Amino acid sequence: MSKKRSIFEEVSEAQPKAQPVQPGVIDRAARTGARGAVRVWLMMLFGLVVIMIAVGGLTRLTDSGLSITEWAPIAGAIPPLSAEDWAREFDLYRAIPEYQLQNKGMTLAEFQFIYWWEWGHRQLGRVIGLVWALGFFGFLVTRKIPPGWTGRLFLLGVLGGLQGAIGWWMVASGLTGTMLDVASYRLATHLGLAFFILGLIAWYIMVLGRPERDLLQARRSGEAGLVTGANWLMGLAAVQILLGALVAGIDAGRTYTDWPLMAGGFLPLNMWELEPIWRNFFEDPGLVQFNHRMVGYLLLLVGLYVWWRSRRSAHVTTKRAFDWVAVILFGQMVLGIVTVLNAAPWTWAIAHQFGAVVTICLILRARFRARYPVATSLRGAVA
Amino acid sequence: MSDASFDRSMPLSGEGSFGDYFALLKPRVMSLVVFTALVGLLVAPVSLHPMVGFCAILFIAVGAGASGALNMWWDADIDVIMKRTAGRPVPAGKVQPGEALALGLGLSGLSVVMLALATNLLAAGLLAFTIFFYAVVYSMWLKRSTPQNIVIGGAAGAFPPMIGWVAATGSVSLEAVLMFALIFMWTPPHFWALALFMKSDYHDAGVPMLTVTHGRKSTRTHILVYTVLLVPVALGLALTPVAGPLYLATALVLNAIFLKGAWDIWRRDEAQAEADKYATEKRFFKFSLLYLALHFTALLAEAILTRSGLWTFGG
Repeated sequence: MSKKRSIFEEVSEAQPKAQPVQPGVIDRAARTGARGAVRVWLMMLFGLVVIMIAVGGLTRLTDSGLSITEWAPIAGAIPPLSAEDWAREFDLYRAIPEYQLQNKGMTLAEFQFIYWWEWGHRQLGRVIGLVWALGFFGFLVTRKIPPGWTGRLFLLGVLGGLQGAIGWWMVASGLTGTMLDVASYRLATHLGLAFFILGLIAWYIMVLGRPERDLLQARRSGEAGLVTGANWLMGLAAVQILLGALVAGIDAGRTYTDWPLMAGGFLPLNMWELEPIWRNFFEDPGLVQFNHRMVGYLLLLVGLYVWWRSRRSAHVTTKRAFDWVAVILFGQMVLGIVTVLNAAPWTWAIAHQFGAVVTICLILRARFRARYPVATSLRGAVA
Repeated sequence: MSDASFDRSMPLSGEGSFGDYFALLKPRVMSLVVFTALVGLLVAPVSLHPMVGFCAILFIAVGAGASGALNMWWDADIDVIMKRTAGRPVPAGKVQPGEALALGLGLSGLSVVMLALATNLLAAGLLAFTIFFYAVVYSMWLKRSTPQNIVIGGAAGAFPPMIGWVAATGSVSLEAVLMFALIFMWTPPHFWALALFMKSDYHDAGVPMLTVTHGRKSTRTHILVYTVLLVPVALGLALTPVAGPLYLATALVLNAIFLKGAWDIWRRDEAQAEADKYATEKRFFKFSLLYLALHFTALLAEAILTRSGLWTFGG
């Protein structure tokens, strides 16, 4: 006799397999790739680039940039280890104008001090290149790169390589003729690209910090006006950083050491002396510092205007992001003024440069918050 | 409406326009601060570059605005009760209390640091003390605890000419102290006259204004006493190097009128005042604004005329 059946039992013995619901394209994209791991790797790169910018600044401030007169990306990784090695490096340095016209009589110990700064800066560049290569190719081989990100992450490596080449192009400008420093234009290009790379990494970190579907949804409630405002701030901040590089490049921060005036007047003295006229905007210490001051004031005013516009935002986190932009812009201005009042000692100068790093990151963060707002409840809590 | 009806931590709509945020800085009060600070700066016996002068006045103005924002943040619960202040941005719900606080603190820091960098530490220290005095000592403590709130609190409004002077010279001197004293002694009669015809507002809000705690007769007496004390300060300033015949003539006329006004207020009883809807008190209040403005205008005119060589009497 057959076994008793439950009245609810299926007639057929063969149970049909439950078909799982197929996720949509957005969900699939979010689940594939290791967004978190890639983000951690980018954070490491970000930290290294910040240190790199600081070390680069100190290399400039200690007048160490021309101490290594050769371009040896691989072989240069090993520093001089013997007395002969040091003698050879020192002889190469003695042949350049900086030594002959400015540092004649420098001791080996003094040379070693500036050499280690430049070597450290270059070595850090190699470390960054290695961290990028290991991470990128590691994620590529294990197929952990999120969809659409291969090109973006590869671009970082390309820009890093380009930065190394620009670094040498910059150093080469100070090895001939009567140059006592690297060309300020090339220094500005080098620093400008460093900030561009840093900004790109920061943006990637923020984008990878939220799932793709969240970003697509958030973008619908994005605030175009604030994004535009943040774009203006980014543009002005970029100009200001390039002007800051020119100030550093020609030691303009050590010439006019009063504020709000410049040598007792609103305008610097003899500011149109160089021929042709346009050269004054890049090479006259007074005019270069004056422009850096004026763009600083403009940046603060635009920043305060954008901050006020952000008050209308319905998103608390967006408002807070712009609050921090206003705070850092004010802080940067104070740092700049204190730096110039003290004739730009390396301590204040490097703090001011680090302030620029924070400024760029906070403007980018505000732009990200405006473009991809975080949903908040009526009481202001994050939903 | 009770005090509990307004919660400072409440996230309101906060759809404030530029005008609302600017109103937080109390622009009318700020204009008086700017003017008196400018006089303090310009009558000082030093030549100051216009750019430095502009920066000093700008940061003093920002500091005044900052203390205004802090005051509006703290007083939102009573502002919502009083007719005169109910339309302010925070009680009206146009600006969130937290934003008023953040703006006040941010601008306080900005103004003090920038004034220190543009002029000197003493001027910045005085500005910091003024902001603290107005926001904490006056707004948070004295205003709601003593009928003498306006007397002691008046010091905050009296500092600007002294800050202007110190920004220019780097030190405090008799002239600066007398300019401070002029505003300090002028503040109580000015505000008590206002309180005489705005009594119900202060009463409803529970602010211990003299009219509420000691009655109107006592307030009238206080107005007269403080006006009598004010006159020698105003005339004493004429004996310093920053003043001269123009200031002395102006001060004599203004103080005679002001003293007469205070005397008229003291002689009146409530029945008379109510009968003409406090016309004398309102007239005295309006004139008190002119009184202060003209004293400082005379000082300024004297300084400008002396500097330009058109006037040879001044010190």
